Amino acid sequence: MSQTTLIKVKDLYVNFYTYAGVVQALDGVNVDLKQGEILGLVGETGCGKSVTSLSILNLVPAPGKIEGGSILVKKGETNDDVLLMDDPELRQMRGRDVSMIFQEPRAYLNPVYTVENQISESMLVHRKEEFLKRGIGELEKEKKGKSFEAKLYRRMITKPSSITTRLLGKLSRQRVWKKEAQKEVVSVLKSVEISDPDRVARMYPHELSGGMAQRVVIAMSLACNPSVLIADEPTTNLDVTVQAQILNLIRQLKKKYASSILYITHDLGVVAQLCDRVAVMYAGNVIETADVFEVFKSPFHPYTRALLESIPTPGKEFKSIPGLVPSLVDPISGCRFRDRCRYAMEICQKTKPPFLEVKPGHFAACYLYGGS
Amino acid sequence: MSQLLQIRDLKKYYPIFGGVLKRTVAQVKAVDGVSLDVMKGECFGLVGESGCGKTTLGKTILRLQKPKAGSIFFGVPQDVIREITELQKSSPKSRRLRRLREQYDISTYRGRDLLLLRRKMQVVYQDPTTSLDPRMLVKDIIAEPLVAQGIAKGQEARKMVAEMLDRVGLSDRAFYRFPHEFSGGQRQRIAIARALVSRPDFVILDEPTSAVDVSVRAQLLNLFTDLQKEYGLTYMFISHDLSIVECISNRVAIMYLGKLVEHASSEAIFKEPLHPYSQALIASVPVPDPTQRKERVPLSGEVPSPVNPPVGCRFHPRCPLVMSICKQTEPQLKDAGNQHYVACFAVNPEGS
Repeated sequence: MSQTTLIKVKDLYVNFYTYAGVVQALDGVNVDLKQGEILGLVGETGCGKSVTSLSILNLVPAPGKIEGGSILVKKGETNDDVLLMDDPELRQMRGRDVSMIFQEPRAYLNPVYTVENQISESMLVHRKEEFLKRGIGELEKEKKGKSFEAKLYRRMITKPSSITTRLLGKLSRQRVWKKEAQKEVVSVLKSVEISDPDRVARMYPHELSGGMAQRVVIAMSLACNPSVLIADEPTTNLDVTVQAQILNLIRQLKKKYASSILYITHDLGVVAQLCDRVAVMYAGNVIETADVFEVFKSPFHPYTRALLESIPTPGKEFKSIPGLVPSLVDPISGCRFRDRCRYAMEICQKTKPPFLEVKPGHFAACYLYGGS
Repeated sequence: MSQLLQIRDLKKYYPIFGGVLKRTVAQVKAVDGVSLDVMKGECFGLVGESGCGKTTLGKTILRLQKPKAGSIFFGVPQDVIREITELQKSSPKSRRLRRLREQYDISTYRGRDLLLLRRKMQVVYQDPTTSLDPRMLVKDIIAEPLVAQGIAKGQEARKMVAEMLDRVGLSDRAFYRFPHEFSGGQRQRIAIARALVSRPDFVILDEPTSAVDVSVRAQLLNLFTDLQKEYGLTYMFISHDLSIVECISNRVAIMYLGKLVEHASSEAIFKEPLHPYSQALIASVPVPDPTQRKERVPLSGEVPSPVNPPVGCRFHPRCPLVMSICKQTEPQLKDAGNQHYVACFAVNPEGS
């Protein structure tokens, strides 16, 4: 199966310039997302999972700064580097090519706008032309192809940003683009299995339950049929039964739209149930990448092994990883896991282990598996 | 094993005010008739989804909330409890009953009795960032129960704090530091030290590991089991994380909309859950094994509002086994053999 790579993150470095010092949040991250797969990005708090995902949209908040590397996003036939795009290009890319689902649906939704308003927002940015064409089509059917409305819509397509168009736009009584967007919102809400989309579309976020709010946020990210979806812990604050529903929804959406999903989580159970491939992160590095079965059956990196062992099993003692996650302000030299590692060697102190393909499709960054 | 804590038909309602006069227009039935026994020295797991009333139940047991009805007995001899229940049936207005309840029933305690009770019952909350006062030094935080209870002060208290800090795995360098200087796991250790410094018999752990990472979680759970052995503690472990509860608890109760639906030993519940809700809940837990994928949603819909819970069995609108009787009468907890209590007509056909 030939798989095209949709996103390729290469040697990404991100620093945060805080008062406490420079936090080296990402230290040469390499991840790639292929067509039609769900890639799980796993790691503990503060390991850089969210920063990686924000970098892909070039949304790293200040005082963070992307210091180096490249992020190639496939757009049509070309691969564009996100870090070299200017603002209009970024605006085009965000939401249409790559869109994101954030962790806390309630914080993400604007409390003073209705669901409909918020979902149609990105549609009106990216798909206005499409809606206008639909409007013209309908007017032509009614044999009003030469009416003021139809002329206006055509003008809006050809000269969208001229001042006269914008002024005349205000005169339009039909506002066909908004009506079309509303129709579209209902169909998107239906696709995320909301039972009463017409009513929900007119609700405000506080009227929604946690599970519903998360569905609305997913609908929002699907509004423009993106080829890549980034989901940042979308089920963390939900109950297990609702989580199971959302996971199933994500699975179905993937089948339906065949889009690729970058799924960020710290829950290994969710990874095992949902993902095709896994990338494990530790202290700003991706330390292991492999097929999900491979990771759970024969993990290479000592951290991955320790993480899997710390899953509680009844009748056994809880195994924990000794020590703490290192500070990223002044990280230790060499391998960042070495002071918690059972197999630490002399070389681990000196240089950072390279990220090597140990087995076909199974990458790890550890001197136990070569590289000197 | 003897019972340490016995709860009989406990209820806690929260009023909803409305209208011009702000009168009570409805009630949120957060805990609606819960009866359970916690044995001495065990870890009792309480499981349920958010909003099912598990935290309210914990708070009501600690008497941080005043119950609307019901009794809570803590370390009371069996014959006294028997007498009280008999009196409640035969002569609910007798003087003897009132006196007995005032003496033994925590739900009637006031003032000094409550203060003394706090020595024996403690709590560790979910989020240590909010449960620790950011303006107090660690030494003051941990010594607070000692001072408030009048157990110790000054040098003596200091010694006990140092001992406790050491026991939870922090050095006495922590003494003159503030909570924000610690990581999440360490903060939770401070909260544990504060709970245990007055040497309680019973500790409620209200989702103590949900705010920490997987690797730290295992450290904390080990600490809980060690401390339990060392001090002979009895735990009530409230959580929505079933995999942890399965590992740490001896007995487990599952709660749905303010009521217990099932309670039994940990193995029995997780191996063969009887109540349809328990089955769905346990089936919803993502198994960390990619070879065991579940592509089916065990339970659709969402928890109904506790203001207006469904008539009859509260689970019936979502239940796959729903019968006509479920919509009319409420099933009671009945023993289905081997101390496995279930409130379901499908499991106990005659149980009403």
